[in-house]
Amino acid sequence: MVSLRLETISKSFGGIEAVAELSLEVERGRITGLIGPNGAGKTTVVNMISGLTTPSAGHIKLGEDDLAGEAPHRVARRGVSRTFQNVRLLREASVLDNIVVGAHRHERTSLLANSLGFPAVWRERRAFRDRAAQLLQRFELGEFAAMPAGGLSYGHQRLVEVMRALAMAPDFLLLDEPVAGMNEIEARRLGAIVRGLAQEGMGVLLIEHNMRFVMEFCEMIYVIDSGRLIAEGAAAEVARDATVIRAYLGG
Amino acid sequence: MMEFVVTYRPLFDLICIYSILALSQYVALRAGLFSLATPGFASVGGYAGAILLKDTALGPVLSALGAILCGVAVGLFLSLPLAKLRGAFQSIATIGFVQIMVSLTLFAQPLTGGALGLNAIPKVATTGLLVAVVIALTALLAVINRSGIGRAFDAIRQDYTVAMSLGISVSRYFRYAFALSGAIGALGGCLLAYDTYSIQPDVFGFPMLVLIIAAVILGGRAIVAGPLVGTAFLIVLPEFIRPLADERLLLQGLLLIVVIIYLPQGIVDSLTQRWKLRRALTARSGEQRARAHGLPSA
Amino acid sequence: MLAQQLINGVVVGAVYALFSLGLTLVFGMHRILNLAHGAVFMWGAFIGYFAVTLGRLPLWAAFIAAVLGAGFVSVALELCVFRPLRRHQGDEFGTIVASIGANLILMDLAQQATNAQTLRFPFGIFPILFFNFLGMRVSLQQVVILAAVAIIVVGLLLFLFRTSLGSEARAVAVNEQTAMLLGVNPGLVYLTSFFIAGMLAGAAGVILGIAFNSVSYVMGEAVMLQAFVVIVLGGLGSVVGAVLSGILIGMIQTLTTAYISTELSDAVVFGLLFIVLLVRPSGFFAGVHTEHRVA
Repeated sequence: MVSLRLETISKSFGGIEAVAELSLEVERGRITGLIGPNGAGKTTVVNMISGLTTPSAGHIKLGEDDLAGEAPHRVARRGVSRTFQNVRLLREASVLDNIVVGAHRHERTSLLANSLGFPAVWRERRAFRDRAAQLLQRFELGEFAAMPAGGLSYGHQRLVEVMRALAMAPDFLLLDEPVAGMNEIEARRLGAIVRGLAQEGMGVLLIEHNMRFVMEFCEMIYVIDSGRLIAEGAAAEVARDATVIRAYLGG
Repeated sequence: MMEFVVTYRPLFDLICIYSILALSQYVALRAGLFSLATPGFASVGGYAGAILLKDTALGPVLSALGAILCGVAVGLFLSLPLAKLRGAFQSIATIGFVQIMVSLTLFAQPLTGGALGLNAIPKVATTGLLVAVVIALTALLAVINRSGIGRAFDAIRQDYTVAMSLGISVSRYFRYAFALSGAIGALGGCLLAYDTYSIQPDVFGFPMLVLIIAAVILGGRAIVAGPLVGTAFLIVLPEFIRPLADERLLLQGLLLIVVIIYLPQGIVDSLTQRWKLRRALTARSGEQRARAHGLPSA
Repeated sequence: MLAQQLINGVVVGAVYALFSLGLTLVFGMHRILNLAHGAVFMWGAFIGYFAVTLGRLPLWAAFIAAVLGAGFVSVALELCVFRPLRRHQGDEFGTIVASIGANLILMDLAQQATNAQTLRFPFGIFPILFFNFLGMRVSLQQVVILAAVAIIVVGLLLFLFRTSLGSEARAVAVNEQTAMLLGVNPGLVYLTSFFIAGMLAGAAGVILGIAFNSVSYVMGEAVMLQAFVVIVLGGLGSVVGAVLSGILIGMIQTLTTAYISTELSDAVVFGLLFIVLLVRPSGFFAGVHTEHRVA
């Protein structure tokens, strides 16, 4: 199975170096963590992978292909999905519709067929809606299916965002601070779900602030500070690493 | 009764035609496109349709088809730079486009009759035809809204970054929206020519732009019925409040400002949102009760 | 002759630049595309006109009155239209629609006040004097216009880069939230930028009204298309870009009118806009904001 590999990627904004020569690997079937203090460049890394920002240098390899600089929708179509730091749901649309939108990559019907309402379009629509409903059941949020997404609690909105990413059936899932603002129970539930996904073969990159969550659920951790990699390894090793401790406590 | 029909039929025809134009604007806004190009499309369609009908043997149906194709072509042409750019640029360019169409139709006198425009256009658009077109377009757009295109439009309109991160090619859908908006706008302009005997360049200028955008903002941008309601309201209202007709521009300006600030979703969508929310809450409590009783949820 | 037309073009362009500066600043700093800017320009011209004819003020005083008056009209737009819109979570499209509405109101008021007539400044309002410069005829008016625009632009740059209010404005342009955390009052910055934009537009209005000897309620509309090209070509939010592009567009327009036709000059300008959007939509100078691409 191919993995997602960042090879010495860098990003400068004007004169400021946000990320410098970072290399990391996200393997299928594992949960990989990317942690670091605020402003360390974690979201910039995610933005580069998902195509919202173009790296100044380096490669983002998915198997043989280099994703660096690809348009965001092309990256998504390759099977790389992401969530956002500030929950970005379509507030006016229902929860179900929000999740259905995630299935876009699997649309097989043409623009013409959709314009004229061919039967295949309605079959596809039914299939997508069924899949979304199943996801809602799995996450135990079925009762919210018809509610406008803006009306849900923050924790629930986060879960809907994850479900939307799942509707894409991605190979790789980039979670940008998914448990920020969640309570203990909600965070554990999300963690269990993510672990289940990894066991099913998904490669997960978890960007988080919450050290406990990362230590519990990540098999491999990369630590970034001021745009540079300062440590990598299994949870226990990284927790003991002196540079890591200094970075987190130093300032 | 007959007198009523005779007196108000021209008004009704106008409502139908402007509804079609409003639908052209609606398509663009639904897709998150900040295009205000519809009067320009109408100009293309009106002149193309009139010229084809008067100067060729194509007959009304084929001429109208020709007008529509011209609209699609112009829409796609505009999409060349604009499908990849953000909102403000689209607005700037499409407003400029409307202005250019007025200039060009004024200038190309041998073809378009210049300031005097084209006259003696056969009136082939009957009220029945206009109503049929409005119904057909409404049905078409309702289908599109429910389809994958509608889903993509909603996503792009509400948050295009999210839409991209889900694999939606924004520029592809913008191109489609431009083509569709162009087609419908051109059809509207063509029917205007076929209904009112004559067209001039300034018919397709800023007054039309303002009326159309006001109709869609007032009526609503999400559900297809919105622009229809808005158009009817804006065309009928001045008829009943004669003294206000003099202050038309002022009132339209005030209307735009007040509605976009205090009722941005428009009449139809505000009402349906409330209804949908109530339905969703009822469904939710139904689910909760079902689970509490140990029944499998729907 | 060509050089003569170029001079005319530069002068017209300088006025376009002045007009466009306000538009590009407000957009660059606040992401507000104010389509009522043309109406502010037009009101500036009218205020100047009425100051001269009704108020019997000397030209220099009328000019100041027009500039300040237009500034206040612009501030009124911010207070009555854009601020309430922001408070009700209006989005970028909302500001465009609202500004169209405001434009209508301002235009209608002017139309009614003047009975849709085109007004002309009294004869001799500006001394008619010509110089011979390298074989070309240059009028005193043209020289004064260029000088005025130059002074205003330098003043604007000094304000933006040398005063504290100016740097607060630039901070808000980069990131409003961060600027607030740094103690900047964004409301005041909005008022300031709209006031400045209005003053620039008013100045341009009076100048153009005198230079072409006509003031009418539609004069704002005629300049908006040029302004669009100027701000796109120059880069949204860039002062230098607006000035240079303004002069360029002025020259192109003048040459087109002189050598091809008046009606087609609009089409040429639009064609230029189209090409720029196709080839280099971010413009040729880095403005305050350069985020323009979607997909």
